[in-house]
Amino acid sequence: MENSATLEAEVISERRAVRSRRLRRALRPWLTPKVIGGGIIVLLLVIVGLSAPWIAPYDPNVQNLSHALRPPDWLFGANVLGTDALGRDILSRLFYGARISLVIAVMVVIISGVVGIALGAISGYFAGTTDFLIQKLVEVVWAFPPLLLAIAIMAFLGQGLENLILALVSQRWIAYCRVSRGQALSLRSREFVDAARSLGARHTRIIVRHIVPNLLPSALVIGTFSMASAIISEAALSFLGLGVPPEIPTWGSMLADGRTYISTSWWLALFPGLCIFFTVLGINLLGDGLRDILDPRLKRSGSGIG
Amino acid sequence: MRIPELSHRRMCAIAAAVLVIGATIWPARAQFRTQLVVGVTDNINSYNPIADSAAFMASVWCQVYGCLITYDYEAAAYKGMLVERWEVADPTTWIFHLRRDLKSHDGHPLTAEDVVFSIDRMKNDKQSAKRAQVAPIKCVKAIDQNTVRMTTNGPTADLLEYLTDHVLVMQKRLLETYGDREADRNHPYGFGPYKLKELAIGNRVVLVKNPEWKDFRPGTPDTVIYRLMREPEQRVTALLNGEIQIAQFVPPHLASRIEGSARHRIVTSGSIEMMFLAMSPKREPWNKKELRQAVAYAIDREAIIKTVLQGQGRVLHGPLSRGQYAYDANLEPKYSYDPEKARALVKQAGFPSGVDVELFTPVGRYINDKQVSEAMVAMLRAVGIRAALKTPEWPTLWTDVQKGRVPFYYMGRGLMISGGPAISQYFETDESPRIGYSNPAVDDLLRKSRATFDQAEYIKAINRALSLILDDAPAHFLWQHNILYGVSNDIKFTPQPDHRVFGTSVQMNSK
Repeated sequence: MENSATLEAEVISERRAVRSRRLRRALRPWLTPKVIGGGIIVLLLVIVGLSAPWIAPYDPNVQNLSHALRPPDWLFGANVLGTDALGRDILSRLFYGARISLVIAVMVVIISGVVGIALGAISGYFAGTTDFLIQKLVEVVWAFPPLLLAIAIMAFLGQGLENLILALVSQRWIAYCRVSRGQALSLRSREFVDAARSLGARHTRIIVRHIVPNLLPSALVIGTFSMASAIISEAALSFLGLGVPPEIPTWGSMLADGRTYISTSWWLALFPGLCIFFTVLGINLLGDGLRDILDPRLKRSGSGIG
Repeated sequence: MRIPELSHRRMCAIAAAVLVIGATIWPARAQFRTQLVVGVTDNINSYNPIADSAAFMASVWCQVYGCLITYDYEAAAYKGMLVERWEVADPTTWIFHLRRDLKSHDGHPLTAEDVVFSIDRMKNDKQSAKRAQVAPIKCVKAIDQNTVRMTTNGPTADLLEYLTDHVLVMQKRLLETYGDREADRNHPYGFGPYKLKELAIGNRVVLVKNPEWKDFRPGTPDTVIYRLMREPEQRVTALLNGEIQIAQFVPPHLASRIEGSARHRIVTSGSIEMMFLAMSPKREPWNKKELRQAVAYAIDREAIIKTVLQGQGRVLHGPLSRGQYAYDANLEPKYSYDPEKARALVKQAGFPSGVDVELFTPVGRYINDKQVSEAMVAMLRAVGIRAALKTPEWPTLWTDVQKGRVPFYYMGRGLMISGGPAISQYFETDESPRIGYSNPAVDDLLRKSRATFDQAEYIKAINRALSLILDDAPAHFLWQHNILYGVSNDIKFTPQPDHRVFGTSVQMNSK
């Protein structure tokens, strides 16, 4: 009786050990310094962005003209990172700015990913004239310098969050489209696609159920890099006064406002600049780490999953 | 250490080389030319001298083509530039006698026909932004080679203010030979003190002295370069690095940087430019007078001047302030900061739960313009006017304002000497679409002010019109800036209240 209990306990602990070994093995490729470092920064950004209304000490738009241009008061003062020319709290504006960066980055990646993957999959799967037409469209859009196209769209449509997202999506879908199209071209002649076709599956079903899932790992890598570039472009457009309306605090517009005071009140430009720097660094590190794991080319060459 | 001895031949060769180099350098030193570089903020947007009515380009073209009339702020009197003298033959007829000693940059004499042709072009050119300046002129005729007769639509006492700095003289011969656009682009030969050497749109204007001009003071710069620098930091840094000698519109918070330099100084000037918030009564929701008045009560001008402008401004209770010709100290200040009253007026206007509007502001055109507008947005929101701030780039905003497409905006109007023409331009029916305000009583009073040549009558009529305008509030008058210039100690420069920097108003100190 005792023996059987011990045996059972041993079996359970053995099972547990196997499970934890499996988990460790599954997690091992993910536990690289790049993924961990980048992940922590991105996680922090997400937490700050989501909880801005609760953790921000002040309303980001409340002005206190008599407290304008106060320097940082590091030791738990009223304005830890100082105030801007209108007496608004820099720290609160940075927290709310994180929301905007996050919303823009996520929306741009999702929309451009959906558009790019859909067009790329259609283009590669059908090939022929469809492929030719879609790729010509890609070449035409690709011919515009990215920031210039975004500036033109913003100048035409006017300021606004939706317009800004549209302007940033305008060229970012192309990277997804190109990569997806290349992969779809090779997938269309694979056995599992032929099998699905011979079983009577329609084109839509083949694309959605069999082609697209195989395109997602690459798209995920493109997405992380695209997220970083979207944040930089948003900052650039806001810096130029073409981003979201001025009453919405963004890091780019804070940087733009701060440049007027850069020699006299350095804190106005420094902190949003650092936020942009670390966010882009974090997302790029994460993207780099994900590429090491998911990029099939790196897998073949022996690096990555290993 | 032994110094090698030089042979006689070698010494001769060195002496000859020194002589040759010296001879080459000496004439260059003798011909040393002075150059003034000014960092400016306004548009440089067209080769057409009449396509922009904004102050800066008007001053450039005035120096190149020559203006009929300018204003001498020291003497507080109008002064002929291309005109020797003028007389008022009767209340609707003015006779101008042109200077006979002037020749164009390509060697042709100034003629009355040139003046007639130029005024016709200002009226008829599709790109003309100077129609308002020549609007009172019914017809203009050349009496002889050097005399021009202008007939006005009605008696126009302040005709000279309409003409000042804006009515240029272009050569009829060139415009007829080459056509407007080609003549503007490749043959910009005027009669002014400077020749146009280069105009790079959106970047710089380069002027060089016209050697034929007789009125230069000693030390007037040979070359004047205006460089577009919208960023205040850029202007101040360029000044401190010696790249420019005058930095226009230095924001108050940067003055200490210039004051800290031993080679530079801050020069301050009052301004005759009124800063205002325009509210077009033609457009919803600004057709409600109570809402416009609410805006006037909602803005705390003193607080903005004290904080955002760091004290460098004077509150305006009308478009004019003490020292301006038509200013009347008896004009009652109508609006003071009263958010409670503003809130009540918003409700009275039919917006019990507030109203959404868009406020357009330039960025970098006026001193701390965006910050000022953001401060006003917060004050408006506090009384229920939920203003969303719009910051289009300046050339776009300016074009839209001139075409009457912007219902609510922050802007300035310069060159208000007597004030009459500017008040007419913005508040007289159909004078310009910039605000779109119309009040027959105001129109009558403004017509009456123009018709009288009596100073007291003129001031009375203008101020009666102003009290009606203040009550209707198609615009809320905010302040006049104190304009700060960063100036190099290498030059003598006294700024003018109209912000124009003429090459002729600067003297370079001898080196």
